[in-house]
Amino acid sequence: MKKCFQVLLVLLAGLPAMSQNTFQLAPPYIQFESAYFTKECRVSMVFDHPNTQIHYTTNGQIPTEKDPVYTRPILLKKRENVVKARVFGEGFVPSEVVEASFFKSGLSIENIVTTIPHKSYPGSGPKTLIDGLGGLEAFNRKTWAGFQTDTVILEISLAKPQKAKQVLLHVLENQSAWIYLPQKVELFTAKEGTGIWELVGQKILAPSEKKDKSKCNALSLNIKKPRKTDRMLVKIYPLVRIPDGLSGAGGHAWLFMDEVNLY
Amino acid sequence: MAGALLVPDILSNSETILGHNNKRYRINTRWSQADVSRYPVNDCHEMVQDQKGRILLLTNETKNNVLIYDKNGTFLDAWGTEYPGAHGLTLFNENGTDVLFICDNNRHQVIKTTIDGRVLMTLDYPKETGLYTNPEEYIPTETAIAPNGDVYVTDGYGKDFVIQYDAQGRYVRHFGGRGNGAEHLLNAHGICLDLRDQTKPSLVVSSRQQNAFKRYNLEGNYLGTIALPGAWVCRPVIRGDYLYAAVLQSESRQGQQSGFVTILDKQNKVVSNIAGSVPTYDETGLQEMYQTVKVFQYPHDVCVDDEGNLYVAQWNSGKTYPYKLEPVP
Repeated sequence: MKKCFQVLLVLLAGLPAMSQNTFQLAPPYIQFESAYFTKECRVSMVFDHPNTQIHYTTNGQIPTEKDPVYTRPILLKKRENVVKARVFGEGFVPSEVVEASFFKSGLSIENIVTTIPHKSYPGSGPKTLIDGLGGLEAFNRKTWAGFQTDTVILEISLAKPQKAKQVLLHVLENQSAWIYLPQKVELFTAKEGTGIWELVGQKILAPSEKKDKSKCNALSLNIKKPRKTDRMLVKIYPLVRIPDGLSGAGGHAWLFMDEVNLY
Repeated sequence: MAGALLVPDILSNSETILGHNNKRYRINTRWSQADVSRYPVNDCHEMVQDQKGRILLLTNETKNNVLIYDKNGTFLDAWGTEYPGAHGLTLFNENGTDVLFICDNNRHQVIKTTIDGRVLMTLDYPKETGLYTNPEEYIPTETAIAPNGDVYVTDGYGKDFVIQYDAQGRYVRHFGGRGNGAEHLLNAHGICLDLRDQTKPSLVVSSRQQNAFKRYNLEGNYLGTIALPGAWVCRPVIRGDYLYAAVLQSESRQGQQSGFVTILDKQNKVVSNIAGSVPTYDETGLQEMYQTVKVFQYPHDVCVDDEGNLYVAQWNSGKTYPYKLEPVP
């Protein structure tokens, strides 16, 4: 019943758009320096148009007019947070939903050695993936390291042995710029006292579907049977050939990454 | 015409009021009554009004590069098949006679014509500057004509210089260009004469990727910058005390059809954004501007007629014809 009502609402909302001059509002702007934080993070939004309000959620749901109206920066403290926002105003079709995710830093990573990024997208240097900066959708920002190799290796060192349960890899998808999600990621830890890498986690991603917008993605890998270790190795397999029908078809996709979290 | 009949008047009369302060408008998205099957458009780049009150539109559709309308959108005439890169359109009253200057991106030329399209003069790439070795380096986007007939051309998709010629087309000087100085330009997309202060005529030049206008005197000496954070401003258009400009897109949402129109007063302060954010100044200056209503996709020029109506031409926006905006008292 509730679902039917929602469908009806959507249909009704669409009606005014059929007349010549009922316009849709543009989405609000979510403003932040970085999507990564240590203790807490405040997220601002702007949309300066008379008689309109930004409604937002932090529970992953699509904002409706029943959700809170944005009045001041939102305080975020959880490990993973998603803010979704939308503008409503009388006489206008509500805006599209915009969203941004925010991540609290986890276990301290002492050092990370990676495959050398492409010279055009070196990021901010060797610390790019552990500098706590990024989460921005524009691929030309210095927070992104870009790779165009068949595999990308990350070797992670911790200050002391820790029992990590999860790894988050923050990657970009921007198909119009030939930046795609990888096909597969493998996670290894060093077997204690041997230096031999042991596969402890794996993620295989579904083939890409066509998407218009640039989007930050957090790829999560869970570690089977977590145990203490101070060294981890992540092996990423970028898309080697972009499938037909997608932007850059036939070419070698790019992998763009800006941060690694360990929990 | 057929399309207009499908929508009852009550629906096509917009109640949406756009803009701020004393510059607020009601929009008509079905102004053009040109028959699309006979008089198609591609990118609608620029518009001007002639002394007869007619509205001229320049498009890079070579079936008819120039479409001529009355103010009500009635199609009157069309001409031009030889301007594949038609981009800039400037009207100059030369001793009582209207003449046009067309910048063609593909031909790498500026062409002066009569109001009905007869070619009077062609300016090729400015090798006299010593800065260009072939025509392809020069992609003129706009002209401005001084009262004495001098022609200023912006190479807005080329090397971003402003090149000045006399009325006969002889090279005088050049200025601007790329660099790190305040006087330099990046995407010098448009230019106009600013005669609002009769004692100090000046030039206003777009530095679109820098989200700014830059001002020079008529000898090309840099006078100052009008920062317009967030706004990819196309050419400046001055009517009365106000400066109008189409904003191709918002800096914060590039490539996403995020354009609007901005209006500045005589002090070069933004007073209204049509389909854009409320202009706000604080101690740091003008706050970043952005699109708020999806009225336009990529607006490329504003024409202001003798009654204060605006006509907005758009680039890469589904071959849409211009919109008209009427001021709200």
